[in-house]
Amino acid sequence: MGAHKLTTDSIATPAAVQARAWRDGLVAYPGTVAFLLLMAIAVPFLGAFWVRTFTAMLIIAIGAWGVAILQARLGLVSLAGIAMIGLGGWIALRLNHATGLPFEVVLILTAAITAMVALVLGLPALRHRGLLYSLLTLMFAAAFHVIVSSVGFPDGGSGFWGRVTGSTQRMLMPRPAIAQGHLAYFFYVLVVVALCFAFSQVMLRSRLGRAWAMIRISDSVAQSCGIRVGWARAKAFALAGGLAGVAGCLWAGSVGQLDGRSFDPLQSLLLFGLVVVAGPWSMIGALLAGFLYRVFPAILDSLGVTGHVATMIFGAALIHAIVTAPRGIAGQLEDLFAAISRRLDTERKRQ
Amino acid sequence: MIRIKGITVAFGGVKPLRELSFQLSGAICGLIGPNGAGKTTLVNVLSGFVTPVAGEAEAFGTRLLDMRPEARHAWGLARSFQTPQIADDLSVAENVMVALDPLSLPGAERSQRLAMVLAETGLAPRAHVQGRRLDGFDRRLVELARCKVSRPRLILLDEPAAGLAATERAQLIDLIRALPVPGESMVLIIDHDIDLIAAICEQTAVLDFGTLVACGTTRDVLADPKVRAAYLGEFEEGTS
Ligand SMILES: Nc1ncnc2c1ncn2[C@@H]1O[C@H](COP(=O)(O)OP(=O)(O)OP(=O)(O)O)[C@@H](O)[C@H]1O
Ligand SMILES: [Mg+2]
Repeated sequence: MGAHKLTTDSIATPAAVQARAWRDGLVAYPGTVAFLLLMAIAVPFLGAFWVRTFTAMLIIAIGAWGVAILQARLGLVSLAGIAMIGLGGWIALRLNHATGLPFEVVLILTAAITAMVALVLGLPALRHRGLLYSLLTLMFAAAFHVIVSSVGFPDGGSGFWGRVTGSTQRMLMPRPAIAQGHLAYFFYVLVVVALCFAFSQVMLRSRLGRAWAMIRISDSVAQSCGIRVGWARAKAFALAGGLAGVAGCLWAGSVGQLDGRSFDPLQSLLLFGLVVVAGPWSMIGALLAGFLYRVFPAILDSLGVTGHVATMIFGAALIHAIVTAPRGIAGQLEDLFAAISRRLDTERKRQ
Repeated sequence: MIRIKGITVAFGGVKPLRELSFQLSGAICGLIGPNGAGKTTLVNVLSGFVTPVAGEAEAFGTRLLDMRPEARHAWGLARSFQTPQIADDLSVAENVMVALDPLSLPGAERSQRLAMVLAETGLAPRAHVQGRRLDGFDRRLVELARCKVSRPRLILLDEPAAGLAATERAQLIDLIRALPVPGESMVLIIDHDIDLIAAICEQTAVLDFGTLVACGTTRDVLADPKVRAAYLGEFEEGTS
């Protein structure tokens, strides 16, 4: 009986399962692809201010996706989302001013170094779930803010901190050679977002992602399958850190210089809240988090409403999300589209 | 063949296992006892989730407690859980593959093993169904497939037939019977269903309040007056 079934159902080989998982991960996200395409089509028609705002939104979305992966896939609450992006920005500026390497090289090096720092930061929490990691990241966010607000970000000076003294001209980080203008840089960032999403989907849908899915059930269940829990968690810290590093480098490249005031620990808390509201399970959620963080306040601002109103709306939305929509806005959108397509299906059958 | 020697577990003041010692051999063995007797706790000790304050456990001549929990998988330990532990966002095949992943086998071997367990458990047609869409029985099957795919030496099944319909139970029993390789591997089943234990277990140990009530061939154990008094008496009254 077994042998008979083996031939008829031999599609379920690990290679086939893996291929299918990757396909699901990469292609079967029409919503994310549509979202990015829509932005690619619509944003160029907006003015320079909005092009820059949407660029910032995409940059935040990369960092938010790292926070979302930790939250949804591993059950870890990172309260250093923005601080990690800031660290990436610091590293990118330092590397750029010290070496003058091409933007792409700085981008990759920044991602690698930020990933390492994130991993080291998470080490004490490897064997624990929950609170310890949140506290560690919160402490990091606070410490990072103290440092960058007193020392500032590198601006072409010498020494470890890379700060210009006296009347020497401060330096800006140049944008990539192929994307000097605002619109070109927007498209550059859009492509990097797509690459980051694709890369993370490959990880989520392979051996490592399967290990994370088991760890989310419980450490014990994962261990009973031979999974080295600490090691798998360390890789998640590194992935989230690497994404934050990419975001930080893009941010530094976008404005040329960073300001310590953008990296208040409250901003990291806000980003985490927005990730939960927007939907940590999906990449659309990360994009929406970026939208809420960067574009929504700008819209309110342009309507003459103060930013505090945005914070209050976010607070209410967070409570609403936790109570009614555990998969966030993105989850609700997915449910809506699923309902519509079911409806269309039944209509078609009826005819 | 497993040998338990003087295992004591303490959760604060509670001692679910107290100087427990016994030995079981046979392809399929049973572990029974009333609710709260310490059965799951013993399985947790063997699989490494609970560290006993004293005692030793040996399986096929290897001291299990010296190994880290995840290393016991590579040694050849697999277990199921009283409530099936299936990842909702992984497919059936992926839920089985997790136990294969850490073994770093050649690709062809992986393929063959996965296809075989999926076929044997009848899960092959549902290989790509997401975990969240599975019913209770399929969840049990996925856990069983996951236990089987790594070709373990010691398989611990914690109430695998609980809550199943009669036909499902019969199918599960056939699958469990086919699990062990005689002389090379052993299945230890916890269950409250005495008929199931009597039907498939060569030897059985009975626990009550964390201590051993009886241990030996299943037939002898089930006939033991102490066992009937401590466990079966109330059980039979409860069912008949
Ligand atoms: N983590 C824990 N902390 C404290 N007490 C525990 C813990 N795990 C189990 N116990 C206690 O240990 C005793 C044995 O529990 P165990 O789960 O091993 O029983 P069992 O024989 O599997 O029972 P059942 O048939 O109901 O599954 C129970 O009294 C239980 O309350
Ligand atoms: Mg139990």
